[in-house]
Order: sequence, then structure tokens, then C-alpha cells
Amino acid sequence: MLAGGTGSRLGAEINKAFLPLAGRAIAGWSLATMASVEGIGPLVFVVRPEDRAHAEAVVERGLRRRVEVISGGATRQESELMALRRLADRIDAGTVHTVLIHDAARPLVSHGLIAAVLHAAMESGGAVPAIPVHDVAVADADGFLAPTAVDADELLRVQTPQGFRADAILDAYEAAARDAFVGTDTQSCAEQYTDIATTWVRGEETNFKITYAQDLLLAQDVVAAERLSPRWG
Amino acid sequence: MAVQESNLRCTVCDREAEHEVVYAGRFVTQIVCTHCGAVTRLDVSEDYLPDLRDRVATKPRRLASVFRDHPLSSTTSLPGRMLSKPLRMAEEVLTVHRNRRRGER
Repeated sequence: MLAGGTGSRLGAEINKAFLPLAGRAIAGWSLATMASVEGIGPLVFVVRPEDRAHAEAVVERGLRRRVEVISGGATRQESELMALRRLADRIDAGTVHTVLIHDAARPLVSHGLIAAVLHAAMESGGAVPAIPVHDVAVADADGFLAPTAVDADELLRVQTPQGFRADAILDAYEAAARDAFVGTDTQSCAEQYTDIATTWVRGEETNFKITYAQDLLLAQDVVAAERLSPRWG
Repeated sequence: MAVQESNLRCTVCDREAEHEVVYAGRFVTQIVCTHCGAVTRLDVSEDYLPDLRDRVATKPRRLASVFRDHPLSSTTSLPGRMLSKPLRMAEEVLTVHRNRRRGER
């Protein structure tokens, strides 16, 4: 679970992953859901060093036994590498077979979706949740709409958690670090450094990332409408 | 009423900027972009009162839990928080009422 975040490290602002959503920190929602999925073992929560107190407070609320809080790196990819290294012994020992990497800013990922990604990743070596997009257009260099060169049926909006065979993805990230390769997400690194044919499972519209201010209000509405409550333990 | 500040992207100015997120109880009732001043208000009055009743009813249990987990810090912070509670509650109710009247989102 990644809560590296961006923005100034001065002032009173907190990482959005720790903003309250219906009484629980945003990050706490998906942590708790992850913890409830059968087959998921250790949870590694990657945070900025200055967010450790917030992270420990989130973990205190019912997740103490399951979550390991570690400090992340300067970039998302570095943070992912640190999380994978945290699990390296267990990956080498074979007690961790598959890893799921998830954005803490996606609080409303469902139990079912996590389980589906995990299952698909265990079967194929790699899996991501995604939603087909159809309302797309292509703009040419002059800013005019061009005839669509891409089959809209092939376009997917990718979400997290993204799941991969643990040993392969750890090796991939170590290689990427040596090469100074920077991918856009976990899948891009897997694509560059592994031979895993990543599959996809149908994502969920409610599994959106809180980016805009209004996303927080939308998440609040979803929680209320679906009568969600955090699942602890 | 609690106010948290965090970096979010603004739908008006499309900048990632510090936003003030105002809570009434568990609910976000207002968000202000500190870069362009855009204000988003949400009427939470319908959910606020039932939530307030629930908070009052569960306060003793939650206090006991906090004391159990953090006895020292709770002892030092509780008197100040008790004294400021009426003012904080009044601000909260006023915010909910103000955003209800405006009925904006």
C-alpha cells in the first residue's frame, strides 16, 4: 500500500491519504479491506517519513497485527522497491508468492476486486484491474480531432491493486533501479523487465483515486449510499 | 468542527494546491482551494444529526478506549479539550446550518 504523496513538506497540511473519510483515514479503508481478503498475508504500508505518526495511528485502529509501516523513497518506484525489499526474505523463502501493489488514495476498492486481482495474478503471473473506455478521441499535432487510429475497444483505464508474481517483480524493480528506469506504474516495470503476460480483470467505477477535491465528496457519498463501514481485523 | 489541510487538485484552477477541508463530525461539509479561493459546500444536515446522536451515545466508550490505549496523553489533553468542546460543537452546527441555507455543492 503506497501513500507516498506529493506536495510541500512544510506547513500544516497532511498527506491526503490520512484525510478522514466518514470517520476513518482514507488509507485505513483499503488497508482494512486488504486485511480481510483470504490469501493476503503481510501488509506493507509505505509512507513518507514525516507521515509515520499518522500511519501508526491508522494501524493502531484494529490493524496492528497485520501492517508493517515503512518509510518510502523519493519516487513512487523507489517506494515500491522498498516495499518489495521488505518482503524479500519472505519472497525468497516462498512464503510470499504474489504481491499486490495498491494506491492508498483509492479507499473504496472492494473485497471482491482485490480477490479477483489476486486470483488472476496467481494464475497468470500478473493482473491489473481496468475499465474499458469508449468515449475517446485523438487529437493531431495541430489540435484538431483526427480519425481515431486506435480501436476504442482496446483502450483500458487501469486501476490498482496491481498484482504480480513476487520473485519476478522484485527482480524487475531491482533491475529497473540499476538501469535508472522509471515506469508509470507497476505494470510498466513488469512489462519492461519480465516476460509476464499481464491479464486484466474488470475494475470498478467506485475504485477511483482521490485526486480532485470533489473526489473526497464523491467518496463520502459512496460510503453513505453503500452503507460502508471499515472492516477491521 | 475540524479543519484539515491537504494537497488536492482543484477542479476550478486545475492546480494541485493546498485545500482546507472542513468537517462537521464525520462529514466533509466544505472544501476551499487556497490557490484560487474556489469553495465547494455540501449540505450534510440530513446525515449530521443522526451522526451527532451516535457520537454522543458512543462518547463514553470511545473515551474509555482512548484512555486505555493512551493513558498519559489523554490525561494531559482531556481538560483542555473538554473546555473547548462547546465552542467546537457550536462552530460545527453553525457550519452545517450555513451550508444548508446556501444549498450549494
